[in-house]
Amino acid sequence: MSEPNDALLELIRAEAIAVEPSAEAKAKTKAKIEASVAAGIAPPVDLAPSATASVLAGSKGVWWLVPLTIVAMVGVGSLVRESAVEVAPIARSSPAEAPSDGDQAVSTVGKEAVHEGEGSGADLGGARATLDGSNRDAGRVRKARRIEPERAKVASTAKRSSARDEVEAPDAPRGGLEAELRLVRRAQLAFGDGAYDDALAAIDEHRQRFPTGVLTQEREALRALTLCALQRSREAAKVIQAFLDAYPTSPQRERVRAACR
Amino acid sequence: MGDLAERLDFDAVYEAHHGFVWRSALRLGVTEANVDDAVHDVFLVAHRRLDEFEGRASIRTWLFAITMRIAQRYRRTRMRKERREDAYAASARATAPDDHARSEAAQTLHRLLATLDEDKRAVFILSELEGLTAQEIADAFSLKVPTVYSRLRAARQELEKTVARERAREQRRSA
Repeated sequence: MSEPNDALLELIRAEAIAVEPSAEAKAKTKAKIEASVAAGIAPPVDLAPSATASVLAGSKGVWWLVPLTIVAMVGVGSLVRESAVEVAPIARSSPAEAPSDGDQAVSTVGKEAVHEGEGSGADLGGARATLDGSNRDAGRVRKARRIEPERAKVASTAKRSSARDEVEAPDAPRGGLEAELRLVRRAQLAFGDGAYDDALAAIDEHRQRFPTGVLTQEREALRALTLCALQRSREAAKVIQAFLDAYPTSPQRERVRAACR
Repeated sequence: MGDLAERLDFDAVYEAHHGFVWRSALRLGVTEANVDDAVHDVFLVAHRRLDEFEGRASIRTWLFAITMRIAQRYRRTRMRKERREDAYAASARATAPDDHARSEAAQTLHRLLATLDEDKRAVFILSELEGLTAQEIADAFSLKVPTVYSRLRAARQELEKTVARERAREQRRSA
């Protein structure tokens, strides 16, 4: 293999000398990582263990949207199919439903972002497997039935606001759940960036537009985390208590409970 | 953190590869102002996933793949912020020496790297700047060795052309 030409080599050599982190930065970052781990803060982007291969092997673009997209696909499908009753619990409670390796499936709280899958087909299969498992739980099915009218409301709300959504994401399909997903995702990204006011604005917008939406649980968990980050402890305490009361089996309980610690 | 063995492993990984991840983040378009945060995020993912690392690829390429994801996210965030800013603020920032700690050459190279597409940029960084072999890169990313070579060749050619163009422009300006 030939070498780069002289001009490029010159740049490469100069860059190699210039680009080194300081020992101070290294130590600081380490301390911050340890603090994040101790506080249970999940990374803003997480990866499936086999994700490396797909990085350069062709998967591009919205890889991090895959799990959210799955929720959307499953959820939106439920709007048009009578079998929606089987599907709805997943969208709402998949983190709780996920088997032992739950964070491979769907996760939408706080910095707990979204996980890479090898392909949407495989992921969808996984999601559906979880979904099938949920059918065994009659209580969840009942919950799903209750959710259906809400979905219809969500869809009509989203239709009214579709002009704004199109500005935000011209290629996104219309529909209530997509709009919900975009709002929660926007809140997550803002939270991950430390833009807590922006996160809260998105959370509030979600509550206004989708008061009993499919992603209510995720939204409220994120609200607790955001209020804690803003050091609005009193409000946070109320949100945390309400969350713990409303979602006694949520896998996010511990994170929410410890949000302000 | 998990047990002591896990913690030691993570500490060792951090100790050995912090510099690599830091450099890679910059080369993948994270600004100097954000690079430590990006490194934090990369190692937070690594910490969570370290026990699942199967050794099929080297730990460096595994970390690099994570860094690519994180850098992509930071770039996206920056673009969003830039869109929100008005033209004056954007132009002021463009002329501000954000990356003052880096040499001009480093900044130039990073700017040029940003013109490559993701695939070529990754191969160029790992091969040309970090010295990994084509076989290592191929193993890590499930590519064929000839594919690695062809991407490297294409990356070099594009960069060489851009460098030549920039130099010609500078010469015209100084003439």
